[in-house]
Amino acid sequence: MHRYWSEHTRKLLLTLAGLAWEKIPPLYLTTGLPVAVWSAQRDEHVRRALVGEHRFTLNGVERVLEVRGVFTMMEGAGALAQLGTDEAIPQAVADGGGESFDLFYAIGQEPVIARCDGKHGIGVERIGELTAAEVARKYNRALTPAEIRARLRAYARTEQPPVIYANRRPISLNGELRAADDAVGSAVATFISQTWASGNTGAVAAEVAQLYLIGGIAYFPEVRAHVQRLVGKVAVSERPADENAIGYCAVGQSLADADWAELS
Amino acid sequence: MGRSKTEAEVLRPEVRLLKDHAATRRLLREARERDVSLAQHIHDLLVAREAAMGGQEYNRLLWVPSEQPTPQEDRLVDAPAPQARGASAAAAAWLKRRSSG
Repeated sequence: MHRYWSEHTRKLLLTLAGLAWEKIPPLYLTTGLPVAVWSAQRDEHVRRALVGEHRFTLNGVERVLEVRGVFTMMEGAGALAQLGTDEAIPQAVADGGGESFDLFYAIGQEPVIARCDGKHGIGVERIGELTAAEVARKYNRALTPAEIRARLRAYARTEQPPVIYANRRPISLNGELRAADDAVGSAVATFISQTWASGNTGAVAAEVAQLYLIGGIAYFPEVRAHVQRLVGKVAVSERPADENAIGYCAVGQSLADADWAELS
Repeated sequence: MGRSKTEAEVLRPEVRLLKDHAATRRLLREARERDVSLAQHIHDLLVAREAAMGGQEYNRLLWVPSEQPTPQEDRLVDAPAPQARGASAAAAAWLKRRSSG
């Protein structure tokens, strides 16, 4: 859990900043923590780890990054700020990333913590693991991480992946990928139905005015189908993996200088 | 025999650059790509600096053969402010939650 305020996270930030700018401007950082991780105390941990002046060398060039303030919110909250409304109506975001799935629920933009939850082990990586396990069982062949990534990407975008072989024969993994997509979709639907049950009616998220499916998982057709069968209408944007980041940016821009002064 | 007029009016400063420094490596690479000596390249950069201060186009002056001038449409501009209806309300909600601990 501490990885969100670890040296590793700091290095990721420095690398991104170093690649984005030759001379890095002072940064005011807004980011998300998983639903299961966020607390005021952990928000402070992240701030303490990142605020300040960082001197580093990237690609042989000495650089300086000054982080002037850090603001965190729950993952999903960024997307809701971007896609949702500020009217006091129930809105929800189902956010599936690489390794975890977050359910964020709010009235307007005010989080309803009792209806927010996160689960580790449901995500795009799980689809890859299930596919690799099936390939190992069926073809007695291990998939490399790069092969898994290429196949997941091609499947999610309905593109043709590079050919791979098992015992000198080319193999197509569309069946295995669809089955893994379906299995993770089923786990997602179970998680949503447990978290957002609407009383004892059997309905799920019935009172929610708008429900958004975001994150890398939203590219997977069987996951989308499972969520749609469960809750009916669900909105999937054109770039679901970017919505949180775009929302964080908008929230950061809306903060006043006085707010940032308290976040330094 | 006295010095020629040209020699009398020219300064020849000695410049010491750290060999293993990114800026030096960049200068050497640029000089190589322009097919001029390092000293000539530094001289040209200083002339270009004076020209830039005199109002010549910065982008043209910094051109080196390996890097094409940036097309107009690719130039960096400030990102447009996102049109997020919930951004201010979200900021207020999370500021409040943070302070209520």
